[in-house]
Amino acid sequence: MGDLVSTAAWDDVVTSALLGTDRRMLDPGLLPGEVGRLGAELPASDAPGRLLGAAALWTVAARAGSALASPAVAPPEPSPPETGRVAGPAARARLDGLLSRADGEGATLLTHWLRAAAERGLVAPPACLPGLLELARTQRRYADGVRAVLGARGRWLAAQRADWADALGETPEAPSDQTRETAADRARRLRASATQDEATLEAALADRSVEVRTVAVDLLGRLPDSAFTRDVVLRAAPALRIERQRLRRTLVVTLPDADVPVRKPDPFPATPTGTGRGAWLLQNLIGATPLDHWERATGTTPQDLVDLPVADDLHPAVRAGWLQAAARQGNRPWARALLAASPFDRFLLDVLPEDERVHRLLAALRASDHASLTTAFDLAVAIVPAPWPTSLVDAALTAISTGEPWKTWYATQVHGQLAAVLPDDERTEAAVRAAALRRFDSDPWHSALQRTADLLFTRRQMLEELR
Amino acid sequence: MSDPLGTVTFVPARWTAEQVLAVAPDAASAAAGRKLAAPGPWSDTGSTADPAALWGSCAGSGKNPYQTVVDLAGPAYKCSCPSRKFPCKHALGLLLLWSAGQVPDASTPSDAVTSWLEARGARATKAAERPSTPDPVAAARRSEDRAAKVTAGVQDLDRWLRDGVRTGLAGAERAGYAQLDGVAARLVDAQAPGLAGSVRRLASVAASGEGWASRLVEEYALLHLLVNGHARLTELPEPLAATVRTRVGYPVRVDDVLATAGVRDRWEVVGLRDGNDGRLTTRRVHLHGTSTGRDALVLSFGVAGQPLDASLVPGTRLDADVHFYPGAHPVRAAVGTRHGEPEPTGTVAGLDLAGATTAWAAAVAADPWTTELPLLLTGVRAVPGDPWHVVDASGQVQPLVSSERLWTVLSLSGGLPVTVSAVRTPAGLDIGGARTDDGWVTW
Repeated sequence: MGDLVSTAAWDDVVTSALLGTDRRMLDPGLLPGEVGRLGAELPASDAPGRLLGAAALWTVAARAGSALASPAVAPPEPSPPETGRVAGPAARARLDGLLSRADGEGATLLTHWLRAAAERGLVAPPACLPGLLELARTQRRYADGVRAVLGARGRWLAAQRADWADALGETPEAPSDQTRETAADRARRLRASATQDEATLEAALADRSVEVRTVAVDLLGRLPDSAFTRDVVLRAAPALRIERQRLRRTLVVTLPDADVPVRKPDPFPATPTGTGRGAWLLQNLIGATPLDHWERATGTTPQDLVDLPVADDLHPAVRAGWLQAAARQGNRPWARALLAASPFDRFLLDVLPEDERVHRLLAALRASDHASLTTAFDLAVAIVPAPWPTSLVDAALTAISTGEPWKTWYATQVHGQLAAVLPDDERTEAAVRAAALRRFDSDPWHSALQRTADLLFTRRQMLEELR
Repeated sequence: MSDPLGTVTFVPARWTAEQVLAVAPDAASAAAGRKLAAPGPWSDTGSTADPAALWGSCAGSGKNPYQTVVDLAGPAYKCSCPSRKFPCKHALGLLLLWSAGQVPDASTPSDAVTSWLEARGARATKAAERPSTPDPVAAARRSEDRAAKVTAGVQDLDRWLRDGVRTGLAGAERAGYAQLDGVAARLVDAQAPGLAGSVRRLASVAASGEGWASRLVEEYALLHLLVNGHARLTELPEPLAATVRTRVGYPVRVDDVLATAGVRDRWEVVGLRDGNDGRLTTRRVHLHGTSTGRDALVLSFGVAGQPLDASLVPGTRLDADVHFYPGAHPVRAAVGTRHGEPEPTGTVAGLDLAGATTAWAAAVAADPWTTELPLLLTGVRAVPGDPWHVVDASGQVQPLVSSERLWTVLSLSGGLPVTVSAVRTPAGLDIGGARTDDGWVTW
């Protein structure tokens, strides 16, 4: 076959066809090689037929004979061997399904899958890698989860495409330039360091940002022998004393001089409008004073102190100070004493050991009034880490299924909250279904709870597949 | 379970999730089915092995739950929901639940299930008893009528093609679809649907952007060749005549194909692709004979919403007789007698790129209208780019038809040589599947 790469002859054919043989004849004999030879044999009287015949000869010859001339290409270097454990076929089918879903529940399950697989040291199967990398590229919030299951093959594949490499390249731990750190960054860093070094904290007390100064005061709350704490106590001690007034022991307050701050600059936040400067300083001083000082100074128990009436309507300031001190210092007896009047204070509950926290929440969930139930439930979701202990699960489900029907919009929200904290086991799933059945079929709680149970079922299946 | 080199075992009784999803009529149904694959909405479920059936009640948006039954032998599906798709999302959800072992075994099916299965059995027997050989005299007359109509239609097309190149095709790009629709409609009336389809495709070629004129002339030329072939049908060797008839659109009955001699081999399912042209869904399954080295394409069709044949599963191997439709270079085939249950896949060997080129040349030489040739390629490495290419050990390079799934090929191969199933087209290789450690990934 002659030189078919030269397309000038074919262009001629096309031009004739475009213009029409009435206007422009074609001599097929002029086509190269065998095509030309055969073309010349076509009857000249039939011009269109001749054109089409020649074109047909050419097309078929070109198609059959072309080796699809291609440039020299360099294949990429092969991937390094996979060192990770690849998730099995059932897990792969599950992941494929999750990647093709576009709904919110699918998104939650996908995040769950990625985390569970990473925890088990599994890597995604090669067939799923392009889907995962595209996901990381188009929805950055998945980038961390995807990166965790990539393995050697996944990282190699990402490197073959600039936009995939970019999507994964950003690491959240990229160290930020310290000179451009914001106050919030400084505060965060200080809190995370949990330092007990007095010099560092004294320096932080003088930081120009109130956020940083507050973190310093918080951390100094754990250092009762520090210079700062001793200075605070010096100012706070004379402020409170017990007196007998009208046959009752009363806490009498002498407001400290608000013009004399404990440190320069003033480590405490500025006085809010509507609050007296003296009362504000009092509150902050009490908040930074070791609580056992009051016990020693007055010779009474935390519960007695908390129950004492306070003169001059200063009870709110004193109590606010004690609340802050109890949370800062992690003081359990004081927390318990204060919780009597503020049973749903999250910071106080955080001070207590976990089983006591759960115990108190259980009591609240068994309470009969509707307002306490919802507050207790929200609090439990916020402070009891997943997975919840059985006792809490049962109390919450009983409250939901037998208590006064909660507003319909709440059902969907609770579904989401429960999904985040319930354990995945069969017992819990059965308990949720039982709770669902206690509500009428038409009640939105019924379907919300069934969906929650289905979610637990699906998550359990997913974990099975990842073994 | 997580060992990538683990062996694949088959449990023919219970379907895998993949098999369930393979019968879904479309992606939306598959997704909806997954959502119903949890115990919550289901009650009174059960399954029996003989008869092989599965049933349950699913809570829906209405007052009463939907009753769903699956005949696992067919498979066939029945549900009281208003959906017109088969299987509906309830059937899919129930199948997935069953596949996960969450449907209890029962000793006997419920009455409703039994009566439905019996009614199905009765209908099937009646269909089988219908005579399959029609009255030969009537058949002969019908075929004469058809031949006359087609001949007239072909002559009509011939004139139209000639007129086109006589006056010039320059107007084609602007003229659009209207005129072509008329020509195509006349060809449908003339009982030449194959030609009608080819004419309709001219519209998209004319609108295909840069290089449209060259491609359009190619298509006109090949149509002219086909028209010529039909005019001289009796002079052609029979295989080529069969090709011409098929491409013009004469029907070929699958029973007649199955009556010809089949090719018995262990046929590996290496590709599966579904296409949708709005009215009809077409499933194309690529089979590769592991001893004969032959490739076949099995086509099945369904109206939108109906399930497609799911008996050929990628990653399995079938000892069967495959019967090729008649033609100068047979590719389309129908599966006849199956000599056993599907087996797991084993080693396969395909062509290198030089072999692929030779195979393509031979196909086009025999059937000049070839636009798709199924092939198995071994030892090729994928090279990303615009367009992608494959290169083999000898250094031969061939371009690929673009597809997002090529990244999956690269991922599966890790950059090493890999075996792929492909369809060679005039524009390059269209890869449809890649071999992995434990089977095939196809798309």
